[in-house]
Amino acid sequence: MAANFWTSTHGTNWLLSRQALADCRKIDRQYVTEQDLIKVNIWFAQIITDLGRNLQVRQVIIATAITYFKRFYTKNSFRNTEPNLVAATCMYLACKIEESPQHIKSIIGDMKSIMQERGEPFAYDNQKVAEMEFYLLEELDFNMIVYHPYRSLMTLAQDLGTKNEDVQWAWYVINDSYRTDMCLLYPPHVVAAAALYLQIALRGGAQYDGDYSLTSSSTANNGNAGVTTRKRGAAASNSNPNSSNNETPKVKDIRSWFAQLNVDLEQITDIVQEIISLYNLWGEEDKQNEKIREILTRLLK
Amino acid sequence: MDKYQKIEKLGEGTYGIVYKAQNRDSNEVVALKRIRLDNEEEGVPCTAIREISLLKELKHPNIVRLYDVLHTEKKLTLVFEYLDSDLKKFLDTYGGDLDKDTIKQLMYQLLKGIAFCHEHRVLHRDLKPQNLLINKRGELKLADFGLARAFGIPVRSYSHEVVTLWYRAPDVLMGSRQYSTSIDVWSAGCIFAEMASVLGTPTEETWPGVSQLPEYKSDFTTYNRIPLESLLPKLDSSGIDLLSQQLIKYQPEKRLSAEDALQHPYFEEIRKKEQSSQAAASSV
Repeated sequence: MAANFWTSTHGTNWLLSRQALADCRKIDRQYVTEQDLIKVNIWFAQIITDLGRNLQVRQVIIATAITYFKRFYTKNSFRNTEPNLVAATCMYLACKIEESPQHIKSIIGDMKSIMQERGEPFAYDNQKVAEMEFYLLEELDFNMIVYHPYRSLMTLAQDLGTKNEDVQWAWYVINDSYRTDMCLLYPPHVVAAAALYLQIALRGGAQYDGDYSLTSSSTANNGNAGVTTRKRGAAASNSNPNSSNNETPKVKDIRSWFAQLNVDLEQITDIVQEIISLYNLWGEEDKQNEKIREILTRLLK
Repeated sequence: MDKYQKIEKLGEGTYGIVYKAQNRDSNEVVALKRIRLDNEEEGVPCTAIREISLLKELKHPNIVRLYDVLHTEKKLTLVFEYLDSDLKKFLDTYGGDLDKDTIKQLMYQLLKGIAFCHEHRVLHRDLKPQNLLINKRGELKLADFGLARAFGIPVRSYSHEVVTLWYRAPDVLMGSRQYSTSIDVWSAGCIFAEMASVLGTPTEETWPGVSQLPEYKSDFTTYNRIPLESLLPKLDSSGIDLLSQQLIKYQPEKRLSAEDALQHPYFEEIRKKEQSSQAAASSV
């Protein structure tokens, strides 16, 4: 996969540096803080995820749709666009490209009910979405094939002989990574390796308390999320690839396995850190719906 | 659309009209595929989305180049490199009388294009002479990716409504939905056989498991296998072996991959030439 990835449009056109990404956001930054923008991105990733769940599409389609959304906003500002329409259209296009086309009217119908739950109208018709699709395609420079970490995860896990349970967890971590900018910053196989590392380190790490019941709630939008994420964060930050205290032999083996992978360990550390801060922020977000409204009002007014 | 001056209509593809046109600035001749969108309830057609997305990724001498995508009010225009002819016209022109070397050259390029697609996890799914473009220099390029798809996406099964009937693999014809790269290899074999001018009706003996396929009928008319040597005087024994023993095998898993087919003794001379020209190029 890697060989193909580097010659793909994803590998050649859509991996940005942090600086380049920051430059893309100058307009929006006039209205809200960097931290607020992170929350806005989590908010819209959640809307797209909920839309995908309502439509009962595969996880990869949700990931593709969120990637389109993020790519679109490297060339546009939230301020000057209509993000709810963009979100719905990204899902519409992602379904087509992943060979599970949905009717425009189902997309609109499900989007309406999702926005209703959030107390907002979704007042766009078929024609609006079709027009938006055109504009979206152009902004994506017609680069529609997106690589995701899921396939690499399966390959890596097989090679490492990872337990199914751990693979499942790492899969959830990858799902969650789409709330961040990772899909614009890192090649997918590096994200996969980081997710696997985070999970294995968590299990082997000294802080691990044996409670696995929190697995599935990592993607659920419920009140427990805060507790869950704090636990994960605490455990994982203790198993930074550069720290060497308190290792179990198992973790040591895994480290040498990671060392011989052809990936930048520094990038893995960055990704792990970013996921941890996501969980901290996200946990907060669940309880602070009011806050996001206030940010959106400032941003989109 | 003023950038291009239309020259003539070339034909109609799966989802639009194709024109020969000229770039007003560079004078370069291109092919324009126009997709009208006014009657589209569902935005840009999936066939166009597929073709654009895949051709954006696949850049190879034996795959037609997509230069640009233009869009105006109610139309989407794909700008392709222009090739004078396609294999169907080419075969018609020569009344099916191609010389051995030409057949070999074309077949080699066809397999190279297919191998590149497969390496990038793309199934063409509609290989037929009309979709293989040829220029004056004898270069062959795969075109019309409207039915193509990326594989490896975990889908339970694929549609069996792919590939024009004549070039459709027997496992797909009989309702198998588990096909993969071997579907394109079968089509390549059919094209090879067509260029060089047959199999008998499959049985459990020649193809174990055939009777389990959903569209298999026990009352298929029985045709006997005909020795290809007598039918296809244009192929030497290694050509016959490649065709009958490797490409048009009933059992999909027994078909050679396009990549391996390129290594078959039939292509030995071409490979040698290719290697020496590469060596010459790199030594300059």
